[in-house]
Amino acid sequence: MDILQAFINVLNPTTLLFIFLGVTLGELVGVLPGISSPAAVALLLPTTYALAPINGLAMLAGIWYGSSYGGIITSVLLNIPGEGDSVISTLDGYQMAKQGRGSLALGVSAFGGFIAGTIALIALQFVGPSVAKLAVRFGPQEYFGLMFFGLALVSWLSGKSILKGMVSCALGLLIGTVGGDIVSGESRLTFDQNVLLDGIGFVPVVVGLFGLGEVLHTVGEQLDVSGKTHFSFRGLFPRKGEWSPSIWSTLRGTVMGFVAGAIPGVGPTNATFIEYAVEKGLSKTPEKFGTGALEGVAGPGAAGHAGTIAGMVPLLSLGIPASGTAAILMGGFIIHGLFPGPLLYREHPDIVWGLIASLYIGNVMLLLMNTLLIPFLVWIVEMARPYIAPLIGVLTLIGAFCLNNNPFDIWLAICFGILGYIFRIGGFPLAPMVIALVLGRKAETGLRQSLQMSGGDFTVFFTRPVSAALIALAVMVLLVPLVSPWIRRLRSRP
Amino acid sequence: MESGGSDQGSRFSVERVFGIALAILSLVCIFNLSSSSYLVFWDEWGPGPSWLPYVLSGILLVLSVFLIVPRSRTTFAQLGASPPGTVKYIVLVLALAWAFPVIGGLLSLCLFVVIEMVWVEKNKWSIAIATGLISTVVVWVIFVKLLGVNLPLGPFGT
Repeated sequence: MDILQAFINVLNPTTLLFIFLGVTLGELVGVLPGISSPAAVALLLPTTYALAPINGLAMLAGIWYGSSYGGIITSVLLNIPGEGDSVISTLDGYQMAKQGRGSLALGVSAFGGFIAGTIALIALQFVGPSVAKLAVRFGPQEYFGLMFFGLALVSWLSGKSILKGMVSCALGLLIGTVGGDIVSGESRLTFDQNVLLDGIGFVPVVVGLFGLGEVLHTVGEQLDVSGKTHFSFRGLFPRKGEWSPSIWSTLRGTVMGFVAGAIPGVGPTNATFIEYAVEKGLSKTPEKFGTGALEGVAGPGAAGHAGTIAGMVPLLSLGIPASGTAAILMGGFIIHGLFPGPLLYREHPDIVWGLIASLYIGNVMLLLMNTLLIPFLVWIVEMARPYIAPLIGVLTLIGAFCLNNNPFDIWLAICFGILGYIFRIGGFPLAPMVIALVLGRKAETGLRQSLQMSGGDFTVFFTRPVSAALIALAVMVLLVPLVSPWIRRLRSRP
Repeated sequence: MESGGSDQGSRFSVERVFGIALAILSLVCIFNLSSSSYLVFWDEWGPGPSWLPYVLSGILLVLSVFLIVPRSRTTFAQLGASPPGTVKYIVLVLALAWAFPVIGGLLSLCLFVVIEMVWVEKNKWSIAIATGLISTVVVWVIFVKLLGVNLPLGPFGT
C-alpha cells in the first residue's frame, strides 16, 4: 500500500463527506470558545462506531487539526482564542486587526498553516514507518519502558505542577485497573458491582471529563464580542515585502512544531510559545513583537499546525498518544478493534495510509475554508454561543449511553464530568489521566510479561539497553523536579 | 512542586479538599483489595492481579499527602465564584440521567434542552422550545435512524 493507492481509496463521496464533516466541525470548535478539540473529539467518538473505520477516524482526525486552524480566526479578529495553540496569536494578530491588517494576519495564518500542514504530512509519511520499523523489534521490557517514559513526560509537561500531573496520571492508571485482570481474569476494584466487571468504559470517561467538565466550567458565561474588527478578502494576501519574512517564519515554525508536537506532553500549544520566543529572538526588531509583528503570527501559527500533525507520529508508530486529544483518537481506533503501534503499519496499511491521505485532503479543504468562510465563521461565534451548553449535555449523555445501551454509563459520565470540572478549577491537567487510562492495560501487560519471564526479578528491565535507558530517563523526569528544590535549599545554606 | 495561587497556608483550598478526597479513595481501594482474598499480590511468577492496584493506591495516598500539607495554594475565593450556571447545570444533568430511562430518551433530552435554555442561559421560552424540538429531531435522525441506537422508550413511546 502506498500513498497514491490510499488517495484512490479515500477519494470516494462517503469518505470525502466525513473528512469535510470533520474539518468543518473542527473549524467550528476552533472558533467557538467554551468547547475544545478534545471535548469535540470525545463527544463525537461514540458516533463513529457504526461507521467504516477509515470514515470515522478521518472525521475525528479532521476535528483535531481543523480546530487548530479555526482558533486563529477569533484570536485575530475578536481577541478570543478558541484553542490553546491560538492563544499566542492574540498578541500580534489582534494588534494587526486593530491596525486594519487583520485580513493579512488571517491570510498569512491560512497559507502558512497549509504549507506547515503539508510539510508536516510529508515528514509524517517518511518518519512514521521508520519509527514503526524500529519499534517492531521491541519486547515487553522496551514497551513498558516506552510507556513509562511517555507517561512520565506527559505528567511533567502537561501542567504547571508535576505533582498535579502525577496525581492525574496515577488516577488514570488506577481507574484503568478496575475490572477483570489481564492475566487471570479475576475482578479487581469492582466493589461487587456487575456493571464494573468489564471495567470503566473509555467513552463515558472522556465524554464526561472533556465534554461535561468543560461545559460546567464555562456555562452561563457571557462572551464579549465587542472587539469585532473589519475583514476584507483583498487583504488576505501579503504585499511584496511581506512574503519573505512570513515564509521564513512559517518554515521555522513548521520544524519547531513538528519536533515539539511529536514529544508526549509538549504538544502544539507549547510549540507555539517556544516558536514565538524563537521568532522574537531572531528578529532584528524584537520591540515590534506584541504590537503587530507579522512573524509573531506566521511562526507560531505554523508551529501549531505542524505540531498537531506531528502528534500522529508517536500515536501511529508507537501507540503512544502525545496529548489528550491523541489519546481520545486512539480510543477511536480501539473501538474499531485497531491498536495503534508498529504493527498497525503492517496489519492495517489501508487505515494508516488512508488516514494520512485524508489529512492531505482535509488540509486543502481547510485552506479554502480559512480564506473563503471567515465572515461566516465569525457570525457563528456570535450566534451559536447559547446553544453550546445544552448541545454538549445532550451529546455527553447520549454518547455515554449509546455504545452499550446502559444507563449506568450516563451516571459514570456525570461523575467524570464533575471530576473534570474539579480538575479544571484546581489546575490539574486532564491529558495525563486520559493517556494513562488508554495506556494502562498495555503498560501493565508489558510489566507483568517482563516480570513473569524473569520470575519477578525487576532487574530484567535493565538487561536491555533501550528499556534501561527509557526507565532511567523516566525516573529522572519524575525525580528531578521533585528533588531540585531541596538541593537548591541545601546549597543556599551557609 | 509548585502549584497555582498564593494564599499561604489557607485552610480550605482546592488542592487540600481534593487531596483529602484522593486519600479517602486510596484507602477505600486498599481496603477493598485487602478484603478480596482471592486476589494474589505476588506469586512464584511475579506480580499477581492486585499488585498494580495496590502500588497505584499507595502512590496516590503519598501524593495526596503532598496536596494536603499546607503550602502556597489556590483558594476557592481566589478562583472566583463558579460560573453562574454550574450548579444549575449539574442539577439538570442529574435530573436528565434519572429521567432518561423513566420518561424516555427523546422526551427527556428535549425537556433538558428547553429547561437548560430558559433556566441557565436565560433565553425566551419560544426560542428554547424551538431549539428543543429541532435538537430532538436531529438526535432522532443521527442516533436512532442512522446509528441504530435503541434509546429507552417512556410511557409516551418517546
